[in-house]
Amino acid sequence: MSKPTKRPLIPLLFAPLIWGAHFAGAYALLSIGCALRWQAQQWLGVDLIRCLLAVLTLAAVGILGALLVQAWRASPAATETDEPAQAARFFARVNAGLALLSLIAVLWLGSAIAMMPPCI
Amino acid sequence: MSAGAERLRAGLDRIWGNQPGWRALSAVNHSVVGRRFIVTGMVFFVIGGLLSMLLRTQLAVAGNDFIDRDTYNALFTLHGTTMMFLFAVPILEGFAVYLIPKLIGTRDLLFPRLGAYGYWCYLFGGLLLYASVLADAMPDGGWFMYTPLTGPAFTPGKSADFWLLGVTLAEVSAVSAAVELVATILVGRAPGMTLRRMPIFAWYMLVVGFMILLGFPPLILGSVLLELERAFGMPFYDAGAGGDPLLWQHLFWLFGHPEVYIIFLPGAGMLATIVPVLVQRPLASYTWLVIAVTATGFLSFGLWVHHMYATGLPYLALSFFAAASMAVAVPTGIQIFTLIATLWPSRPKLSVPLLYVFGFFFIFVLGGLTGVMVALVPFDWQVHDTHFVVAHMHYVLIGGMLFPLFAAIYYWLPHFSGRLPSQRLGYIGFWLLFIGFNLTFLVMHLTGLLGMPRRVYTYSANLGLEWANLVSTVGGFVTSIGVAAVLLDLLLHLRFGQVCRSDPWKADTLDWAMPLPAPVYNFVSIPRVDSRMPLWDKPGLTAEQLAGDHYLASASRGWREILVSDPTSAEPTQVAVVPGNTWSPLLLAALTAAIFIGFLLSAYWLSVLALLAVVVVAAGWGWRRPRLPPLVDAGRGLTLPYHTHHPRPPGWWGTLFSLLPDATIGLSLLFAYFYYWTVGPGWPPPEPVLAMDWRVVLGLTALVGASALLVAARRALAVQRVRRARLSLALGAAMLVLFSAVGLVALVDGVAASAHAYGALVWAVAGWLGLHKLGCVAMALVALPALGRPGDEPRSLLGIVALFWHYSALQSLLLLAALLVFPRFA
Repeated sequence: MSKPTKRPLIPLLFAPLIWGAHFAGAYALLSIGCALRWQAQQWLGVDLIRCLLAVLTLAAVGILGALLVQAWRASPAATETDEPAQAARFFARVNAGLALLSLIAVLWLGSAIAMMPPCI
Repeated sequence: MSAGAERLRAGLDRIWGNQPGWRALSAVNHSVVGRRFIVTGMVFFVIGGLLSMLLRTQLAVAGNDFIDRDTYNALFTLHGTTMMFLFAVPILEGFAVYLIPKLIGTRDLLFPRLGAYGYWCYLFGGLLLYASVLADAMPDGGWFMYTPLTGPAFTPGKSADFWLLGVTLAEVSAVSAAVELVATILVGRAPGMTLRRMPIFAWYMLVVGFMILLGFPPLILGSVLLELERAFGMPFYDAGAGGDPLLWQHLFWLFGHPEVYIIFLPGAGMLATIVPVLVQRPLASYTWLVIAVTATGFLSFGLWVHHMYATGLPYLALSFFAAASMAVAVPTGIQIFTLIATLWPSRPKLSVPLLYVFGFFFIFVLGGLTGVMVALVPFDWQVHDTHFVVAHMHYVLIGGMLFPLFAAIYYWLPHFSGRLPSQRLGYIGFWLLFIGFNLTFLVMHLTGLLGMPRRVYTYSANLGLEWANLVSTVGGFVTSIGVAAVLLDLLLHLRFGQVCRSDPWKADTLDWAMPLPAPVYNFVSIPRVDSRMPLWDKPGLTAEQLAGDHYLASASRGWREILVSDPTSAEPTQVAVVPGNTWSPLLLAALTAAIFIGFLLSAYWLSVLALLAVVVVAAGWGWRRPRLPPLVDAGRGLTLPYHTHHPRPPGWWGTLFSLLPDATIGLSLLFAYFYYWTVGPGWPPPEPVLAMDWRVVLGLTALVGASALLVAARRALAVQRVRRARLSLALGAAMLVLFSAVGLVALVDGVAASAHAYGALVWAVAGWLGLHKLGCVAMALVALPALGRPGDEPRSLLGIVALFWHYSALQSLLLLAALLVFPRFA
């Protein structure tokens, strides 16, 4: 039997917050990097700003992927029909959906990093 | 109905009833406040609509001289400002204020005085804005008031001040309503209404409430900074003195884009409530709607720069915002498809609300599609500041807000009046509105693509724009006739509408589990809920609650009682006594308005006096706490503590959610500071780095010491050592006075506020922190005599003080670290 989740609204924020942190971090990193002219430095043939942005994006993708898997696994079996199980299933699905949408948004933004030069 | 139930209803009527005549202005009940928001919003809607008619008349033919350039500028500024700040947000919040308690099964919002205060602030803010017409100083800088156009150099006089002060006052209203909506949705739900059983509109408003708490403060800060620049020459946006006009755009659109969704989501939430009832089947996917509305709420904060594509930011930065602007279409699409899937298998009767649902689909989806077009940077550059954007914006806002609003009005009208509107007039109104709207704005896309710029009062005859503008003007008047037909229907139904005493829709939600028009106390007894669609799954629930078979079915105690529940399990934890009719919200709002009026008149002494009076009156709200017994019989064998005996009373939750907008203002100040350091012209500042002298160190020590003393006070109170607790609290308050009088004064000592944006920001931070300490000391003064009152739960009141006090200390340390430490490493 599933145990009722004590504070289900807080985990619900994790995936969107990771998206928010990645979004704000990428914008801040680009702004600061351009102000300090980091684009002149190269790393593996790519400018430093985009290297750092790629690392940031990979980190966000990794965390969101883990959240997605965790939410998927947290859903109780369909045979459990009591109220705590139904509540746990509901929040597992919501968390998984939010992780998926956040992942899509991060990858979508990340694709721009691969295609566009910084600071122009 | 039994005689006992009749007596109970009469008793509840007496307790919850409003005063007659002019004394009705003292009412604080959510139904009254919600209705006032809605009616006032409709009045501003009519005014804003009339202004648009003047604008369209001017543009009907080329070279028209119906109104001159300056008047045109003022009219489009007032039109946009009215529709966004005085109509769209307040009327939707009004609906939420009215509906949420009924939907979640309670008698009132948790903070009725706050709701009434919010309404009066909104009214006074609107009146202040329109006082500019009487003063012949109408604001004319556009609804987004870009600097430097609206700065003191290019807009002398008071016109911009009317906008800044009026709109900020209205925003205070939005934030206060959001605090009570969020708190009530989380802890005010009926027993058994767990989060997954919550009506979908409550989910929408929960997300919207948080969006308001996080989205409005950047504009409040931006407006305050611009007003300080205009009043005292503090150059926050003056590029010649280290300021940056683009900072205004960032702060404005940090509010402005979430604002679009703050307007759209309540409308979508209403439709998600209405559509299942109209087709008599559950939502196609409640879970996906919860996912989508939450995701939309978050993503909407990543779009603000798509209003700034033409400001010269790096392409890669623009592409981040373009990506987010396109990504938000995904959760928005999920919401649309969920509604379509709910409608798909049914053959519903084409009622007036359903017509507006279809109107929403057609118009909003078109607006969404052009939204994806303008999210693309190269396309946006082509149509930037043209009528294409005007058309897109109206498709989104009218499709996403006005059509759902009218659907909601027609659906819930029997709730307000106990009567049904005219079906025929409703159809006529809808079709005139729908045809007129599309006539106006569909062709306007073409007008924009042909190159017609926004905010220009006329155009030449040889540009090929004449026929399109004429069609738009004709369409605009057809739209107005449609709106007039709707308003006429609403007025006529009050007298001639068919009487309707119970749910005409066979709805599933608790808002219809009551006689019509809705009684002022909503529920005779607070019903227990076992499913997401309580009235469909338990048809006898209405009769049970009316018979007083559920919770709080008593009028003998004479108080306005509501249940407070656990946010997750929705099991009742306490009974809260909420305030009855009182003049204090009106007084507080009048004093708040006086702060703003003082600025408008350059009578700053008036602002200072009014601010102190606001603190005193607000403190009085906490002072007059009812003396309640420890326990109360809540019915059905349940005994609960009263809120004054519970460690987490409603006030604690209210304070918690009030901290969010406060923290956002603090973070926006930090954003401004680091923004200047990164890209501001004239930065780093020429002035020396702030000195960390002994006075600052003493101030910081006092700040930390005050928090430590509060911890000591709470510990002392927990073991009934009341005198020690009082001493600790008093000493803590004295420490905060020391922090302000010595530390903050040392911070600004020798720093010129008007020479450079850096100095201006230091003064702004010092003022912000000083205001907080004033609030902390006021709370301590309220708590001191009340500590140890016989029977009170010791953690109750002091817990609220501690929440604000510790938070304020943390924010102070963060802001001071940015000012004092960061420059040494920059």
